[in-house]
Amino acid sequence: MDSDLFTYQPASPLQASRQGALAGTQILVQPDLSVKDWLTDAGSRALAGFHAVMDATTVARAKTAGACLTGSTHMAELGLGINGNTMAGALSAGYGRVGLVTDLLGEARMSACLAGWYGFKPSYGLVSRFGLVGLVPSMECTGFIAPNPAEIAAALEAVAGPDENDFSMPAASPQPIGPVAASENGANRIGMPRQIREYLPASAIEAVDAALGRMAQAEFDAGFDIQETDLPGFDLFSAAHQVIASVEASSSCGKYDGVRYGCRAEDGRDWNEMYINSRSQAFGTQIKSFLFQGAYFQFENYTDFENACILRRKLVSRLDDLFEATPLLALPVRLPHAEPERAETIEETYTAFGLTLPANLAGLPALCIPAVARDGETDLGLQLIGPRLSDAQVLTAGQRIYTRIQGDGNK
Amino acid sequence: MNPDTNKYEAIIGLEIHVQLNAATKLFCDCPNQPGDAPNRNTCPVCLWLPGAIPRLSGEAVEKAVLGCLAANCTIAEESAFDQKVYYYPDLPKGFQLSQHHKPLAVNGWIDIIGENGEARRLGIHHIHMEEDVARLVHETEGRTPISLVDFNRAGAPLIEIVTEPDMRSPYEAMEFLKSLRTRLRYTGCTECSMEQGTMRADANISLRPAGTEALNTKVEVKNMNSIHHVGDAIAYEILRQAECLERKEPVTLHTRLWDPDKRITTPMREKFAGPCVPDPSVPAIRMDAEWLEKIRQQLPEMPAQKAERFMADYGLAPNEAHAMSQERDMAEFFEAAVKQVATPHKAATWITGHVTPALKERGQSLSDTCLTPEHFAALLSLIDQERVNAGAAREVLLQMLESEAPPEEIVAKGGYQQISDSDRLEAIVDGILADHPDDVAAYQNGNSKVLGFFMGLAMKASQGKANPRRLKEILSKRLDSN
Repeated sequence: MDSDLFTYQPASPLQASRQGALAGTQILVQPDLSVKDWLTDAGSRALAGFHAVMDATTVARAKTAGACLTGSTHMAELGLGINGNTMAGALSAGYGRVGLVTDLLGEARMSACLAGWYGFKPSYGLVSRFGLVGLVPSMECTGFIAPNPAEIAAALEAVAGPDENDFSMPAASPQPIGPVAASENGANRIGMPRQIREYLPASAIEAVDAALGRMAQAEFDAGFDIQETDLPGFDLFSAAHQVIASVEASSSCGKYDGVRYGCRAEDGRDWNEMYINSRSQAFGTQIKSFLFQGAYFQFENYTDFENACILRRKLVSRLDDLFEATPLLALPVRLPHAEPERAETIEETYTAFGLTLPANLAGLPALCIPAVARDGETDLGLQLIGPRLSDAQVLTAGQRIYTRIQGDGNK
Repeated sequence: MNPDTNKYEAIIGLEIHVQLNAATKLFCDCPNQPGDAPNRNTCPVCLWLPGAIPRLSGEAVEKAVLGCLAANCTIAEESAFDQKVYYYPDLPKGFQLSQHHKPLAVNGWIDIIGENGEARRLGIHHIHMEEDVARLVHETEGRTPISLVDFNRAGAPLIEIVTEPDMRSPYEAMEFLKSLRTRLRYTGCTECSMEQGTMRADANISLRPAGTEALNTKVEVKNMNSIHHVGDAIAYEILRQAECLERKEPVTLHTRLWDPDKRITTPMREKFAGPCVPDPSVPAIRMDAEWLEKIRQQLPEMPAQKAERFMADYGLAPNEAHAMSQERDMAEFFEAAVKQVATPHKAATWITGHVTPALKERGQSLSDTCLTPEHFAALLSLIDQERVNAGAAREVLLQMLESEAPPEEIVAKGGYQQISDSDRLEAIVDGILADHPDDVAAYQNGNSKVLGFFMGLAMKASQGKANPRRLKEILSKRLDSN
């Protein structure tokens, strides 16, 4: 096993079927997604030694579709950020064709952007969370990294859809993803919120404008109509996300007591001290401060949590209004000077993911397109974000752009 | 010190946990059988292993709604689960799923008859659903105390009924519980037994000077495992708080435990007040009007209405009607028997006097026995027709609990027929009188009590089968003519 890259690597790749939509597709997962009997520690000492007792729904469905599971790669503790993630490296090294990365702040899109791959966060509720060792249940979902949108769509199609083990998914079956065609005429208007300009230095704005300009022009022949739109209060997405996510994380982590699995402190005079000592030894600094923050809102300042929930609903409805006029939004994935792969504190992490987390807060599908918006040496990545459950349109638009970049889909 | 409790008015509210008898737990398919061998009924969901997601049971929601309707509540159009955050070994995920912000039902009531005989309507603030926690078993291993955790109960479906602070005496609290229990049992959603732990009641008690309106600091009392204990614990707590007030000691918000042996309450801890945050994984329950109407149709006639109807339709006295309506199975048995020509009053008397005590002694319910309303009515007819006397009928009834044979057959086989034949009765009477000349003399000297003595002897001589009316006639005639 290449322990620099892998948390778990089976002796031989796991393949349940040789037939199906994903026949032979090599898939990498992270150790927060349950694969029966695989070490599933979610990158945390709190789950040290925990082996999954069942397959996650996504894993079971991928296996049924013929996919071949090649291993699980290292991840940031409990999936918050990408510091320590090795998914992109393992994909680039050829260990897999598709990577499944839990996206709660933008982790799948950001990893993809840094490695020059396509990354996608589906609509909330489209992919089952059953078997996902979650941290922020209302924001996170399994994301996809692949060389192009069509392969993401194929993987999504195979694993998406209602699951009797996850009642939080919408009861009405969302429209099927279907094969993503390069020539299909989909949404034509793309809007970029003008408020984004406040976040970006001039060179980055230039890069993004150039990328959008090229999309509108003959070079891509994609015929997109680029408009500037208005999304006031953009900075509130981060605040609302942080308050709500920290509260959910605090609850989600309540079960890590070191009793049945995970790191257990040897000292402690009673069960309570044993809990406290185990938890203080198990969690890393960033998660600890996140949990403290969540507990603060739970125990000391519930009103602010309620306000954050109200704010979240307002922001979601503001986005809904925006989509009435403009079916797709475009945003860069990253800020040019942020270093998400090295972020160590909550502040650094939230700053680095400031442009991706709105899609998590609002449960929207978001695709990262690499190599179209470069600010000097930095690939800023371009996100296409659509209304909830418009995953097929987003991926179709992405595939049109991909096809133009590649020159009529030769690859 | 013996304070004058009349100076104070007691303000009492109850929080009642009722275990629903749904087949599965609230959020998984594990059997809802907490009493099975420890940790047999568990799965990744109720053990809260990483990756598990709760799946709300439709049956539990249905039974909870039935319970709420029986308590006259309004069902909320939307209710939702929250996480009640606290850390304890009986709750290994660190929060209990409960409905705090959006309970299933609100604004109910239970009617009782108060101590002075007047009707009282006691309010229910709300009823919410929640999951039970694991059971802790404290043992010792050698000299080391150890605590074991049994997850069979973890995730069992509960409703919690939170009353308004409307009760003013232990009596009212007990009447509330009795009526609530009867109504809930009627719906079939719960066994509702405090003794077996499927109903648990905590009481919140505060005092205020009589005639004032303020609500003072309350004390919560737990650990009562019968309705009588609830009354006793409240009575004790009223006395204790009155003593505190007389001594000018402040009453502090806390929880006390009822000690049934010492019959006192002792302080346990500060009253729990942890945070409750909306759970992101369990979807909100949105009531469909049509579905709710279907559930409402399932609601049986409630005991109070039944009692009134029994008085109107069958001419039962109030106490008889009350007794006949307390348990749904017995009420339905009574009514079915009456429809089979049994006289209502006689049926009620026999049920109260003989059927219920026999079941109680055997620890059985009606459905555990072979007794049918048809056979029961037939037995009462045999008595009316003087084919069997009351004493023998009691014997026959006991056999009917275990036999599917009709009473006529049991009477014939067991030789329980009543002896009304004058010749045989006269022979018995003559024999007894001949054996007791002194007592005959005493009767004739005016000691009428001797008649009862002779009746007893004669009945015994007939092996209990003599027609008592005929026997007494013959005995009196013989004694008076001697």
